[in-house]
Amino acid sequence: MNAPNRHELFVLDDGEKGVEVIEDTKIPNAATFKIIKQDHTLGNMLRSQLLAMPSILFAGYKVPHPLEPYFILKIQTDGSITPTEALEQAGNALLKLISDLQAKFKAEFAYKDVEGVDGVAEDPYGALPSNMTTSAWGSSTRFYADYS
Amino acid sequence: MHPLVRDVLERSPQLSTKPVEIVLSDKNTGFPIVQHRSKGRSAFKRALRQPSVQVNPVANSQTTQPLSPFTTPQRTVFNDKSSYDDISASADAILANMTQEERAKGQEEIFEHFGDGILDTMEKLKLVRERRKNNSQPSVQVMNPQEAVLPSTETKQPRRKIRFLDPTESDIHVYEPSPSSPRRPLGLLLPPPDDPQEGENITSLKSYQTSSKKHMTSLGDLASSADDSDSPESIRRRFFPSEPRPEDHPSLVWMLSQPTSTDQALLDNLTSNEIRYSLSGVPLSPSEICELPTHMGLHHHASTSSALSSDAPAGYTLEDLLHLSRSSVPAQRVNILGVLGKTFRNTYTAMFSFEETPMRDVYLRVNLNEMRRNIFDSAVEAVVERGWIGQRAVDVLWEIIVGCTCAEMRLTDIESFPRVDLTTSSIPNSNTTLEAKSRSLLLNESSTFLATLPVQRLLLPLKSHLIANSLFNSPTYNAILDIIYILCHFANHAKILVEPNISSGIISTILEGHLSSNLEFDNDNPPNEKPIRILQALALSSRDVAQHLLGPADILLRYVTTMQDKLRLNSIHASMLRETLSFYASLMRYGLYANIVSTAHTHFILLLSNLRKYLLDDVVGATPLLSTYLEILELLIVCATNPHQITPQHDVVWSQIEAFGWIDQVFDLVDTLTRIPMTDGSSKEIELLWTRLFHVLAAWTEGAHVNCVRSGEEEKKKTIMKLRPHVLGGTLNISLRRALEQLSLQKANMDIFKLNSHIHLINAYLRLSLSSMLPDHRLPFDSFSQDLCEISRVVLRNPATFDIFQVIISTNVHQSLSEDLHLNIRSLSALLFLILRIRFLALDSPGAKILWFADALLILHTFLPGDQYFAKWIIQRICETFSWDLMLRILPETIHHPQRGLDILLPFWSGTFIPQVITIDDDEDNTRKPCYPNIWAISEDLSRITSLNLPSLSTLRRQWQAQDSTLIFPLRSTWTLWPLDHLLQSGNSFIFKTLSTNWDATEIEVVRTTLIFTQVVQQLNKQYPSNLTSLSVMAGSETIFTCMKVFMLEDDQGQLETGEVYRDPFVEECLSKLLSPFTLRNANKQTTDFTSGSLELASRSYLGKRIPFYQFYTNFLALYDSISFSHPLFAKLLLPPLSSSYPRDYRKLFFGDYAHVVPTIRTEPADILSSGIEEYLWPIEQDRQILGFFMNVLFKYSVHGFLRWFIIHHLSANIWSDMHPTLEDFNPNYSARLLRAIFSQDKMDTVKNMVLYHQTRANLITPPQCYQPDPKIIEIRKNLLENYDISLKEAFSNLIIQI
Repeated sequence: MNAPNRHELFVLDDGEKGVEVIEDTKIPNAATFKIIKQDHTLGNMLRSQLLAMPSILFAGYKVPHPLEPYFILKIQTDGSITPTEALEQAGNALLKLISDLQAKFKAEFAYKDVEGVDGVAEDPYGALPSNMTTSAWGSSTRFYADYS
Repeated sequence: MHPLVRDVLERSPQLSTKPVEIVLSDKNTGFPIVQHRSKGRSAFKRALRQPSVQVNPVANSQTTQPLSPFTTPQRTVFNDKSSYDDISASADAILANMTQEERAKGQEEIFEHFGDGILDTMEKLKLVRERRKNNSQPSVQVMNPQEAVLPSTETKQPRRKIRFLDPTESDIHVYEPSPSSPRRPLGLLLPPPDDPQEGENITSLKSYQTSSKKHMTSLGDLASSADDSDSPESIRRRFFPSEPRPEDHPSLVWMLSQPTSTDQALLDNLTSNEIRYSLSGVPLSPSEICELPTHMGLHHHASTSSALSSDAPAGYTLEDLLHLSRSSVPAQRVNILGVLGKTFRNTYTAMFSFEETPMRDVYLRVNLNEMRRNIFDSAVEAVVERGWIGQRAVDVLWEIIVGCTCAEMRLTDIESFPRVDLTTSSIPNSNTTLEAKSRSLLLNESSTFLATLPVQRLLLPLKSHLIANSLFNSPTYNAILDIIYILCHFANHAKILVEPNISSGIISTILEGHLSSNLEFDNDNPPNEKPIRILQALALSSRDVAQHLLGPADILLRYVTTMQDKLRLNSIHASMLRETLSFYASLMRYGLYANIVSTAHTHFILLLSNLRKYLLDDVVGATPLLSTYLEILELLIVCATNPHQITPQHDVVWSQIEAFGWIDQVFDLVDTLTRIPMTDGSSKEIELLWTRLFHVLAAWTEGAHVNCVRSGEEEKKKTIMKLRPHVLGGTLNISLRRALEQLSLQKANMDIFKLNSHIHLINAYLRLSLSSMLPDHRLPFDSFSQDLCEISRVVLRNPATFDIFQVIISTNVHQSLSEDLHLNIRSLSALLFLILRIRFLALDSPGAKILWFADALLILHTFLPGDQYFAKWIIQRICETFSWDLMLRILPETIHHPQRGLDILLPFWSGTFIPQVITIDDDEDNTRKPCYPNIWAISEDLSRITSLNLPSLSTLRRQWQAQDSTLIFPLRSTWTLWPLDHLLQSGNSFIFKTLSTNWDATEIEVVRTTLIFTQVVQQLNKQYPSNLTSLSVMAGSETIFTCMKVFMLEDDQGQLETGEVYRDPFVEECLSKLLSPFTLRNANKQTTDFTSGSLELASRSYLGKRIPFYQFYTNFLALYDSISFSHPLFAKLLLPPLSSSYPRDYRKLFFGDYAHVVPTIRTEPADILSSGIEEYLWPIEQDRQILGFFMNVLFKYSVHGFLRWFIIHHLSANIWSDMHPTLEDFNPNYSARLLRAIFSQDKMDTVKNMVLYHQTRANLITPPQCYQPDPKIIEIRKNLLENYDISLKEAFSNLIIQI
């Protein structure tokens, strides 16, 4: 119906900026960030990361409308750092966390090759039939219909 | 065995036969041996061949003979001497013919069959027989079935002695036959058996009352005697010394084994289904059920399985009656319908009368509504029948619909069914039924029952009965009219009644019957007013129904044309005419049918002149008719004032009023009235007529103000000139003075019913004074200005005045109030309003203005449904007159000043008081909001009124208690905040759809103005306290919810720069001031004002029934979580639902789903919104899940202020049993687990707090003292840890050492 195109949910338009900072004039050390083309995935992660930081007094986010692909993030700090710095730190911490996670995952995945039976790659669904030397995923030159 | 034995009796004794099979019976089983008759001889042949020796079973067989319940007692007494002699003679003859062997064999058989004791028995029997022969004739009690008699003990005493078996060890007891009424209770209740007087013992049951009284008194004797020793044995010894001891007598064994159960106890245990009724519809007492003889016709119910057995109880249960009322035998059906009717009448009479009758308790046990519905169903089935059944069914319906309703309302008859006139006083004598303008339905239980009756099923049969019984004043005809009259009072029935296709025209049937036979008014056959009264009741019910009645209205004009000169001849004519006129008045109240008076004006003017003459002759007789006439005249003028408000438009116009010279007629009447001398008997009537005249003239001057040149100055002057001399002297002066006197005499409490006529007169006078005021703004009849000041002082400053209004919506719903109190009270609120209007003319100083403002606010709370125009006038004046300068005098410490005046809020209030007549398309169930008439007719009202029936007092109170959002009057204390509601629902708000184009306020302006106005109103309420303060001052929960609403007004429509409404400094200031009285810090100062109602209840008037407060709170919390920047006020508002008086779902939501907001809330304990911290701290939280959330929050985040206290308190109380109020709930295992979890945490300060925290309910210790180490507590806890794990003990001692 009136749902936007899928790509509009994550592709920035020309000249559109991903993050917009609005300093709050009435509340000290507070700012509102408008983060475009992102949704709850990032919002919730950032919020919880921010709340874990000791210098944060308040962190909250909301998606004002489900069909508009942006969220606003409100941050207030105790003054030791600015909200922008806090967001940067939170972003960095998240990046570190996620890349750690990725590295760990990859490392674990690499062990799989080591532990596997020599010459016969193990399919996730078990050992391959003996007439197949490679995995069923792509590297085989034969089409499945050829077996018939 | 019984049937065989009975066979013996049936045969003639001369045959001297006996069933041989008994002798041949199998000894093991006792049953006869089966032998096919082809193998043996027939009984007849056997009897011929071998004459039997069995003699003795004759007596025996007699005693064991079962009797049908139809058996009358005398049949059972076997004392007929001749038959006995016959038997004995034949037995002797047989014996003589027997040989020795045969005799021996016979004896052997007898011994074998009856045991060894038979010899003794036979001897005793012989002795008895001889004694009886010698002594006297057996006294045979002959009972006459025609007289309802109780069996006397005379009958049973001799019989009891005919025993031939001694009650010794193994013998089988054989009871004598008895009538179906068992004898045990008789033995208890009746006088000793040796009473010589026969006749006096017989208790007649002719009327229930006497028998029940006798029964109750005998019960009383029993009770008193049982006081000494309440064993049945003592009773036996005292009253029945001749009876054998219970252990010797099998009939009395129950006295030993069972506890005594007196009749009363049985009565107490009776459930409503077990109540048995006699044929006159009276419940039978348990003893009567057992003892009543069968011939009274109470044992013939066949529905129960035991009906034919000898112990069938007497009487009919309701179920039996309902079953029998569908009998296919017409006579039975008629009778039973009659019994049902009587039963129901007895029940409701007993229920609604306060008299203490003996059986009232039994009646009260009946579920009246269920009974009513069941009987109604039976009657509806029967009403379709012709003849007697149908007529009897109509009678039953009358009891159900009319009789019960009247009884519930404590009315003596249907004539006095409440009809309260709004505009005039009621004439205080019994023979007049006032013309009804508006009346409320005063029924509680009945109303729900009656409102849901399936009327459609009734109408056709009723109509056929009407036609069949069209003879006037036949009981059935009148009963049907009564039934319809009651049904008319329910809006949904009224609609069905008038619709021609559904009802098959029952109303037109009534009218046709009525009119065709009513042309000749002869004295033999007086006309019946009931049909016209039905029309009127229909017209009152709703506008839609009234529109259907315009046809019949034309027909009734005949009374106006034909009867006007016969008034003095026959009072029935006058009352017919009055009913007709008041029916017209009801129609004109809706702005319908206004042209009738103009169309037939010659007749109406003739009628008026006739009435004038009549008045001179007989004031009392003419007043009811004349006052109704004047009412029509007033309505005519009101209709003509604005012809756009009537239906059809321009049906009457102002020029018609002027051209036909109505007012000259009225002035003539004024002259006539002044000539009438005032006597004690006629003062009330004269007062009423003056009231009416004032209203007519006031309507005229009001209309002239709109329709005539120079705002009707000429007309006003004319009125003043005409009336001034009468106000200054004469009967009018006397009446006015008396009314004022009466009013000022009332001090402590106000008898509104007595005062009403006086208040109405003063109201009419004040209304005329205001409407005929000339442009110089001076009251025209200045002689009373002094008295007016006095009156306003007396009425306004008398606490009793507002007491009455307070009572209307008092919290005690069950307090019994006169149901029409709220109708009578309207005159008083109108008086208060008029006084306010007059005082408004002379507001010169700011002080006077503020005082007026305070009074106006108070009077707003006295209004009830129908007073919307008064409320609108007041709010308009407030908005126009009161500038911020004035407001800030009331609130001097306000820092911020609003820029906009109160006028931006006026549409919200006046639009809610008087909703615009707009049909909203998207509203599916587009029912027009009910609109009730003003106390006197005003032209704006005419097209809006939906019904002339005001809601009943009980409905009103119910709606008030339930916080029904449709209820506007009486006003709630939160009425000043209505604009916020409309802002929150601006999409659906009807106000925003009807706002004028030049309304240009912004959201923030509306909020600011609303909040400061609310503050001003609350401040004034506190400065000028009255008895209505409890209604006008906002409770804590209401204030909290209001503030929540302000926070929910989030402003995120692309205006991120300006921020939310609550960030506005002005709004913030207002909110904190509104909330400050309800914080814990100020709780002690506000002991009386704070009523800590639940937020769930306070929110209902806004959220409605469908949306729970929990949902609102979820949104509120989510809003806080996302955008609040931990606003302190916002945070404060989150806390009230965490108290233990709310369900634990709130705590789960808060500490579970929104645990991350906990660290952002820094509210200190003194700032929380509560009347006492106890409601948060006790009872101790036991829910493991919530305790888990607490642990998580406490050790994951840094928690501050009140929440830290709250969490540590509940966790510590679950660890340390010294803080736990009851040790039963305390679980040491769980405590150990909690401790272990705590000691493993690394937040040392929190762990210390948990370990050292101590609290007592009696003497509250606030933070930080409660976290300080207390040696005593430490010692106690050390001891507590003795039973725990060693590692815990060590951890604890390590911790203590660190401290």
